[in-house]
Amino acid sequence: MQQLTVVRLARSLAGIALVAVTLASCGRSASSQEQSKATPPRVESTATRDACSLLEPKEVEAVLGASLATPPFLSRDGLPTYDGSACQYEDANLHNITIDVEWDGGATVFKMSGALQSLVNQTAAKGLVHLAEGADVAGEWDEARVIGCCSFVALRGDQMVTVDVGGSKAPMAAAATLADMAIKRLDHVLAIRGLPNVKAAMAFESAHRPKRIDPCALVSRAEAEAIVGKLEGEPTPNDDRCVYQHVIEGAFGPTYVVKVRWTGGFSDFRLQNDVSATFTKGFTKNMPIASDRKEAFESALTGRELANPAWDVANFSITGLSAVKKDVSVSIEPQGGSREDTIKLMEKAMSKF
Amino acid sequence: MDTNVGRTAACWLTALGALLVPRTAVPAGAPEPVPLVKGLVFTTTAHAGLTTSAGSVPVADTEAVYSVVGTGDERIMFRFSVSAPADSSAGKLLDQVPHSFDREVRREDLRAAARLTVFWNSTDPPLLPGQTFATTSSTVLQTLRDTGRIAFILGVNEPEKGLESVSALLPFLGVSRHYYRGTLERVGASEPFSVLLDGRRTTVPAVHVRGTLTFSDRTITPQIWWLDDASNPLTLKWIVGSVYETVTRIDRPLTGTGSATTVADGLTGRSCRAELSGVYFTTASAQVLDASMPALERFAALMNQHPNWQITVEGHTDNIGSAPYNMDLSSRRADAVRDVLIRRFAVPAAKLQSHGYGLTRPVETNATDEGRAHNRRVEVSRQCNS
Repeated sequence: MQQLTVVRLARSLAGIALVAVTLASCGRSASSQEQSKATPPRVESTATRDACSLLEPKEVEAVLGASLATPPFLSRDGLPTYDGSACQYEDANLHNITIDVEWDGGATVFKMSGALQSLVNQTAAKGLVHLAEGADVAGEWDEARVIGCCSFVALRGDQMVTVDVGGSKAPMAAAATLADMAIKRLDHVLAIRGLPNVKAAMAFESAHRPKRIDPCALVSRAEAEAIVGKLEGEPTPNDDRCVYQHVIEGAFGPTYVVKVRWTGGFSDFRLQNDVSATFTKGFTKNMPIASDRKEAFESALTGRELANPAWDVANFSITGLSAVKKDVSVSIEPQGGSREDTIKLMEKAMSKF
Repeated sequence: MDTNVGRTAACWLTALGALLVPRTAVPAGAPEPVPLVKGLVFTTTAHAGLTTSAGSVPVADTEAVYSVVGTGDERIMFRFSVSAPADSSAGKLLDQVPHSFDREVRREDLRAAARLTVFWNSTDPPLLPGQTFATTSSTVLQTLRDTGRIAFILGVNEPEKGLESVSALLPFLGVSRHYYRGTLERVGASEPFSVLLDGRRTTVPAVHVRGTLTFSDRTITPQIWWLDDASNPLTLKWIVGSVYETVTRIDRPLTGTGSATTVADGLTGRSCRAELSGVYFTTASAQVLDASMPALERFAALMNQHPNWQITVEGHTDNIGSAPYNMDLSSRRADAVRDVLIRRFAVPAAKLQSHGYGLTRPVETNATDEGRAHNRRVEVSRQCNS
């Protein structure tokens, strides 16, 4: 999930030189290894190091708000894989929550993730106490940090747990609760393993995750013309984008740009909303907003969703309409187009999943 | 202990002074309360590594002033600043980065948390839930009293193995906080701990603990002394390996006129002099810290009650650094205190003189942290014929 990017980047940076950054900071420290003495490494079977061994499925179901469609499985980037480090919990609509564990070296990764985050947002790096809901949280962890919209990172000793609720509608407080449960089990893991469930998860994904298709097939030319009127020509595909150019009496009219993300749609939706809200909050401060854009700005600020049975979740931001169904996110930028036509185009696209 | 490594000048972030100060130790008797309330200020001397974005010093002697700046229903707010002699390696590093910070502690953690970070980072958030700062919790102290042992977590900053290349380029990234876990056990009965309390050399009861704590494949054997007061088990001293931090001075907020009366007693007594406690400076600078203002305001009020007094503000130092350096510094600080009394608290300038005595008039030995802390002080003296 994208929310884990900072953590993953931190992992890859551990042990190598970082870019030149100046942190205005200081701290006291034990001066050298003389302060601590090495002891024989703890003997621990790597066979027990399965991220799925820290949470009961029912505990995650309570947060997810639905039953799991398949037993928890090892994953990477939101998809089942035999060498995944994360454990994924997924419901029938592909809403998901993941947990990832640094079994060793967690303190370094935690430190690096904070340093990297501070490059982006110093306030966020320091604001780990306050969750989005405004609650202070404490748990069995030594330190904890919120990364992005949806990841809760907790450090205990040299082990680190990351709970990512971006693929669900669960609040950050729920992620903290799950992290606390997981942290408490690091020394005595459950007899649950994700590796044996990967095969079943792959089968489930194959049967239920929408297949990647030509993005222009989501709304055909005929379907688009029925909504917006005559197009200049065939819709133009470009990777996971499709452009619909409307013409009015021989002149170019509004353009609709459809973008598709085939995996991690729920997570991407929450992340984009979070970024959009932060940006909009800063951008619109003390600035008058045109009346026809007011709803979009307010929607971006509040993350207000646009209810419609055609999708699981959607909202209008200042750049257009974004909607998600079965973990596929579609965004439509109505460049000069109407809100109503944009919604109709989205309904048509979503009907294909 | 060799506390002077790397020091070439007086370590001057000082709690100077004191309310009138009997210069003999007060025998231990009924413990004096040190409530964790707004206005409580304590100073420490530390011997530890210092790392900043500008570089690092393996071992540095620094001083810190901790103030309780707010007390709410849910949290206690601290402010602390750290400093080192300006011409030392540590002082030069600190000069390039912010070195005054705010920290908060939840009251529920003051009640029950068994986790303490003794090393701080400027990049820390103001509040780390689940931890105490500068104290331990009432529960920890009570458990030690009852059972003699407690499961405890100690946060320690250390050089990060494998990040040597990072440390060379970005020193601050080469240090990580490691949380060590294990059991602390009480060492004997309550111990007397020597400290300057409101400028008086006295002892307070301390619970001394030690233990073996582990982090990954590392172990440490820390020792900690906590004030044996369940309402405020202040961390009086900790030692991890060869690094330590120790409280040298505690200044309680004044209530009523008791302390002012003590100053008055000193000025009207045979010596015609008194120490002003609660006056703090940044290192090697004549800048008077805000935490000093309550003490100076009270002294100004006392002077207003005695319009015929002629007062000399005196600066004194320890013996770290050259005599000329200390003489100059003490003079500048005496001038600064006089200036605050005149400009901020409207004491008539004609009633105030200032004079620096440098290292020439110690009141305690300069061989210990505690003694040097006392020697760094501001006194006020009165012309007894006035």
